[in-house]
Amino acid sequence: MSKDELLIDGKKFTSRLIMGTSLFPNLEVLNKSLLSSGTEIITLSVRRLNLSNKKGFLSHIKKKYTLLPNTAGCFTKKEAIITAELAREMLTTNWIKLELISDEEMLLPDPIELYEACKYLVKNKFKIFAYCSDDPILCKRLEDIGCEIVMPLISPIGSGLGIRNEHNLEIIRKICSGKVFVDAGIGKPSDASKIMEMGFDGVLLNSSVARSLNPEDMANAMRLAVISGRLGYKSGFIEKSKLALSSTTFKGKISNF
Amino acid sequence: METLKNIYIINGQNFICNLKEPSLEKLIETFLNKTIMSQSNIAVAVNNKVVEKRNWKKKKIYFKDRVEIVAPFFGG
Repeated sequence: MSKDELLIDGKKFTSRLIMGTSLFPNLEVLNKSLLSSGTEIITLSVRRLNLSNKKGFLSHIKKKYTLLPNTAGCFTKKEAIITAELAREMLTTNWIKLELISDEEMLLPDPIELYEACKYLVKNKFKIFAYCSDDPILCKRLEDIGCEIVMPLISPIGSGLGIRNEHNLEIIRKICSGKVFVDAGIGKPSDASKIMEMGFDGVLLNSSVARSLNPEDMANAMRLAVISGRLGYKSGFIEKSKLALSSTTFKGKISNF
Repeated sequence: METLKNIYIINGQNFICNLKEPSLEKLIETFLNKTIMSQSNIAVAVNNKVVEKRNWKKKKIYFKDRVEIVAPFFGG
């Protein structure tokens, strides 16, 4: 198999699966699942310091991962910017997964606040992983202003609904020449595999693993799905035909009874 | 030297303390156990502006300043 490394901000990765760290039943399951997923990048949030947790979140994570802080829960550009700046100070990273939601029920991204926040943060040297809606034009505009990775949803966060608008995703992949991950909405390994088969650069997921009955095994299933989909895409699919094309030759068969 | 008794707002809660030198560093030291400070990746904002760790000592704080102290947490 040829090398198929993922390059983000000058760093090489072999895994194309970014894992969230939330909602796992306990820390042991979280650590085992992260390991099983083969991920090299994990997401985390920025929250007020909890004085009762003396060791801190990072000391509970067993392996060394590249950290991708998020702005989860932010509703405005102002909130997202200060959260991103705090994350940069907290972890000494200019990577930020920019999430700007518009409502509490559907948690859908607010494209206008997001776009404005991205413009500001790109100017301030942040490497943005922009969580956005599956609007092809928005994705292209986010790419054009310099977001490191554009990350459209396929359905609402934590819904597990899978791909709802395949056509939009096809257009996004066609018009965005940079890196595009899919973030949010993945329910099954087949969703992850399909995304990768469509030529996307990677997948970010959390709930589908953390809330499954066996997160460690589901993480492994997602790992395999991402690899499988990617390998299929890179191998080149056959053209679809409305007519059958026999795989076994008719020549030489015994006939005609 | 007379000590200053003041109210600050840390992570949304009133925090009353006497500080000889009203610097951000002293305030954080008073608020936190020093062990936590050294072990955690924390970041601080005062009145919605991030203050880099190297500037905590020289950053003066005032009555009712709003201080946010954050740390990494689980997230998706």
